Amino acid sequence: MSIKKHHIIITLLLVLLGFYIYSIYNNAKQQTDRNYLELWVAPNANEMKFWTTVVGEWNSEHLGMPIHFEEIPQSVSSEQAILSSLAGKTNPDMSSNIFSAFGEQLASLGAVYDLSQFQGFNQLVDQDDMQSIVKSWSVNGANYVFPMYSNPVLIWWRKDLLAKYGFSAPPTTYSQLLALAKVATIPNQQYAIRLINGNTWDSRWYDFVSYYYAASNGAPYIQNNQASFNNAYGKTVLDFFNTVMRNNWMLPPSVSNGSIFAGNVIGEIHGPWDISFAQVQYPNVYKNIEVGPILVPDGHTGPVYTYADTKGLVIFKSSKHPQEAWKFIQWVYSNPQFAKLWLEDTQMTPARGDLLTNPIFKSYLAQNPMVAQYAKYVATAVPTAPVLNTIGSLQAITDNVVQPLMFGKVTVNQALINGTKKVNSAIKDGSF
Amino acid sequence: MFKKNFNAREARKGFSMVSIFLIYSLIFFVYPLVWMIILMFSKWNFISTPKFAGFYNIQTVLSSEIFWITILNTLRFMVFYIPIVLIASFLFALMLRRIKYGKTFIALSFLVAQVCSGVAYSIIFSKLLSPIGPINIFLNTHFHFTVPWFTSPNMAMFTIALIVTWKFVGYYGIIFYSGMNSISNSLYEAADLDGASKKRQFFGITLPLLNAQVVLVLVLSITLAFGLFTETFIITGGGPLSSTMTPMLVMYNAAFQQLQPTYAATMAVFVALISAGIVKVTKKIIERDVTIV
Repeated sequence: MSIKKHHIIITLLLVLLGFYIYSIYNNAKQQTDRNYLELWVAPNANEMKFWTTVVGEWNSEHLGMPIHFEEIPQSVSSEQAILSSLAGKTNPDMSSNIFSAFGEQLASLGAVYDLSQFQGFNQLVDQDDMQSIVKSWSVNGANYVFPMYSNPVLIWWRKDLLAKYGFSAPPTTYSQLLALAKVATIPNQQYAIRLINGNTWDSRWYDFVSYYYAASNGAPYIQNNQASFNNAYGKTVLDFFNTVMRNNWMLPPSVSNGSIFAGNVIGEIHGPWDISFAQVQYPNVYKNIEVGPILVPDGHTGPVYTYADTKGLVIFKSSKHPQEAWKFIQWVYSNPQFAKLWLEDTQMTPARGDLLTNPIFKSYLAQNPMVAQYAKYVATAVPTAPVLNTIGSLQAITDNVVQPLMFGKVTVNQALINGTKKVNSAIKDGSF
Repeated sequence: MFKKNFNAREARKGFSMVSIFLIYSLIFFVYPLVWMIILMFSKWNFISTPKFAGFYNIQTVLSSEIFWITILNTLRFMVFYIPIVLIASFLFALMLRRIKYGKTFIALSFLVAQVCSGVAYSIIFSKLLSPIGPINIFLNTHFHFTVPWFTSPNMAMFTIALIVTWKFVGYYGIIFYSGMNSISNSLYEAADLDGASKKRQFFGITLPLLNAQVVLVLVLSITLAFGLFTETFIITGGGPLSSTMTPMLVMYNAAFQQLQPTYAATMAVFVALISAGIVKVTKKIIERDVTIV
């Protein structure tokens, strides 16, 4: 008897089917058998330290279903790791490190709960003075991500270099920056500012979006799924960009971030997450850093808005114990000591409106003036526009507004018109 | 009867020996391929059940501007990369043949680039070739000009081609070197006797007899061009002005950042077809059945 080809194929298919059935059974069994909640957190030492303390306390005091926490698996990005886990049905019950727009993407997949539907949501928001922050994260009245931190981005300035050119304080307006750029630019060596932050879609948060928010007092650049930046504010911002670009007064965008430490640039946008890095790696330069707001047009009145890098917690719909997971979130957020601990461990500003008024944070902020500077802007820091195709819309701004303007391919007005058109089509078709 | 049993036993033995490879291929090649083709005609977002979408994905990919930009960028990369890497690898192989001492050390030194982490060398090159990096500072100080390696849309892909050449010159050079070593010296001796110049010998003997190696290097280069990702992802992010946007970058963004795996899968199929087509045409034009008579 000889083995025929179709026998081989059938055997192989059966083996494959066996693997497949076993993996489904195993996943289902693991989900059902689990008598604990799984939490994924950002893969960095500072956040791990925070969650070790918090989860340790929850588990040791037996306050609810035990929590097992671990880093979001290594991948190109946290988002990719979470998507892969959803596809493989190996996702946890909860995850931190979710930015607001990704939360919306997850919601569109039907993968996460609207947290505002859980009992006690509003009380928790009121208790932590998070009303305005939660409102800016809200999508059609739903809140898929519970904000953990809201990091405003601000401009770091080299005090020593400013003083060299006769500036006793950092520039705060466009004309002040242009005055600095005129005297401080040494081509291929030193520039007044890093205005454009790179070629990738997310770079736009740190240039166009930040400057648009600052100029427009936090007006959305996309509203009701339509681009809304083709207006006087958008024109003012781009006119300023265009002046700096045409005069070669900005650090080329391809230069990696951190040039401020080498003295190649006098002003550069940074978030509070860079503070501990600068303290440790460049202690001498750090002493000369002064934090200032995003530049605004001359004659600007009122508070200065900026972009907020924000992340929070979600509960996945696949969780067998969503109420238990919500109970844990409530417990974490209802204790302001944990917000203080978060601030101490990560130096990132918790997403709460009482950072400057609640006495619990006072001593820490007094000892850490740079973090305190960031805390001042939490209330006026706005996250990315709440649209499903965040990446496509920001890529459209990159390809049709910022880069063509940088290379002199379009006028400011053309950039605004083209950008609006392409952002709208990206939102409508989900295109790139 | 004995013969029949023996054959069956032999067949079983053979099957058991290749079964591991077959199972491996089934899981890591056939299954993804079938799944990709299913996705091409489906609407799916990772966690939903795939729904039949007809030719929607094909139409979307073929009508999207970015798909054609990436194909043109890949062709532009090949125009820069293939001649540079072919010439550099040939020179490297010729140099290796002339070196008398330390040949292995030099060959291994060049091969180190091949085993380097793509992320690591991309970061190093981005710093070296930065507008304010050491190379531009040197050029500016001594020759009063700088090169916009990554900042010019016309230059960025050329620079990426140079970096990839650095990585592969040792590997391709070794392929050519082994080919050159297999050419009998008697051919060159006969050519010498006939009074053929070195140039004539190279074009009349060396190059034709290295046809198999040239075809191999070309095929490797073409497939590499369509799989370009790490360098552009780390160094340029696809810019400036989408000049270094590659198919892999778009597929990655589509699948893992914009939750459109069906678009990515469809694009992957087209990219594979175009890549296979170019390989086929190249082989048709270049490949020769070389025999020494």
